[in-house]
Amino acid sequence: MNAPTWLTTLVATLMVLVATYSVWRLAVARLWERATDYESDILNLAIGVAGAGLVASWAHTLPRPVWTAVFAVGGVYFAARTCLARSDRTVRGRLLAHTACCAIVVYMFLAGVAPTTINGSTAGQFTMAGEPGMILDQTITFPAIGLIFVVGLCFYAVTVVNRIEPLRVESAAAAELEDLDEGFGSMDGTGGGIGLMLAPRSVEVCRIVIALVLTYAILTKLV
Amino acid sequence: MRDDDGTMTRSAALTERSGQTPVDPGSPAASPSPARRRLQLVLAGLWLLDGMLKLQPYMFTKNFAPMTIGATTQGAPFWLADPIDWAKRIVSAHPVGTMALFALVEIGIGLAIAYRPTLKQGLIACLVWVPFLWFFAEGLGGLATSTAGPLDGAPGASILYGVLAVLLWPADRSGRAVTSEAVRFVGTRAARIVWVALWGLLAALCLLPADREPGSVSDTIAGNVVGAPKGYVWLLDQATKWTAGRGAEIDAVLALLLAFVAVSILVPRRRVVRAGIVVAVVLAALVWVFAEGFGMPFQGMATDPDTGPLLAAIAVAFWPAAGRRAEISEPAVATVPDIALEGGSAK
Repeated sequence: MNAPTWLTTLVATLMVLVATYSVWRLAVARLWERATDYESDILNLAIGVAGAGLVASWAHTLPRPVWTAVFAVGGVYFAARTCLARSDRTVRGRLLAHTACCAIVVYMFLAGVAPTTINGSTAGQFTMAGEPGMILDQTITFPAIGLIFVVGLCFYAVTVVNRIEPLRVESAAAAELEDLDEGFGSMDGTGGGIGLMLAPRSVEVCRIVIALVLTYAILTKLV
Repeated sequence: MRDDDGTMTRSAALTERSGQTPVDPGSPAASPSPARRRLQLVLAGLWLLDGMLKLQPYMFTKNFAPMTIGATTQGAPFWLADPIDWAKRIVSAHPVGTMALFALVEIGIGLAIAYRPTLKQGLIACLVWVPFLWFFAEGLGGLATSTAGPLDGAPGASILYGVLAVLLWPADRSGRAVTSEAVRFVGTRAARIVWVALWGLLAALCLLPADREPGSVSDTIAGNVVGAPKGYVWLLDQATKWTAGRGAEIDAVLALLLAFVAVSILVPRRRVVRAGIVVAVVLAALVWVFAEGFGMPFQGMATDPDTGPLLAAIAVAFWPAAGRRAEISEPAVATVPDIALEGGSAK
């Protein structure tokens, strides 16, 4: 079975957008010499590109072993950084999330999460055994681990949404007046200019999108 | 580096711009009740998982409506079966549009509850969506049939979402009566009624003739084997062998335990109340693992995580937290039932 074509296209496009935005953040931070969390941006870029290829064939880029190695190395790097940052709870939490994210992507590549091998969508058709037009697709290995990751990703997305600061209308106007004179907006994205481009809130949105897309990719093969 | 209201100070922002500190989104603002917020996030997570499950490829096929929605009409009275058949025909005719809409609604509810400014809207949407789902998709959780039982998913996951949404409605009520998160909005008496009704209903359902058949428990467990991972299949096989022919005995024990859970909240002893909640969580976990098969996700047909996690979440919401009596702010006449949730002694 596979999902409607428009759905896989939409999901893969979201990942491409995440990757594009991460490149944009890195470029803007570099050109305007602004601070950004390079680790998060680079990780989002890699997951955006690799994740899109896990969902849609047209987004395929590097061979699976290469991506597996990339995220395995990334996972080890973030795990080591997590151990070194034991004293800083905030940084440790972020690095731990990065480590878990790398581990999940490695799992996905090893377990066989991949675009469907069926030509066209099975949406709107009969697909079960004994029914006319039975259509089967490959499933993942280690489905129990996949289920654990699915639950973890959903609750991770919820915690990220929970920590997003609400937009403040009054402070937005004030920040705009203050910050536009200096050429960049406030760091919470309520101002304009480069501050808006580098708003941490948008990185959080990227994390939510990544979590939901990875959840979707595993669930489509959890059969 | 943040003000009390959670906004980033200008100096902090400038420090981060200087390149010395990686930009991090920061921590959540202070909440009146962190425990309550955590439970709300559990509800949000379950809704999100629920919605994501509805994006599985199987949901968009023509098999979904007859095999999943249609199954709820078995043994149902005409006033329930006919509307469900009507809904089934609509979903069968438009599987892609309807399921995409369902998934979108449920993902939206989850995200709305998780995002603090839209918490109330999310809970309202949950309460509006739940009756629709409970009636048309779950057939009232099987309660209108003679085969409903706690091992078969009664009283339905949807209604439990609704119960949890009401119990966790944002409220800052404090005072001596607020002894758990469940009573903060609805009050002690209403919370106690909900608890007794829910667990008492589950206990009563165990006594139905269909649930006392010798093979009722083992058949239910064996039904989860299809598509499951090897280790889980082995566990289910062992459980199936052990329960074979013991359906009546197991259901009797289950009914007794559920009845204890139901009345434990009325006993004016904190230890008994907590024991009842622990038993409730353990039973919910056992039901989820063995009878519900984690909601049967390994068959690619799971539409929700089933009742297990929701029953556990409801039980945790009733946990009488230590130190709650320190919140005393208003004089009140202590009645024996009031003390039950408070966890005090009746002496």
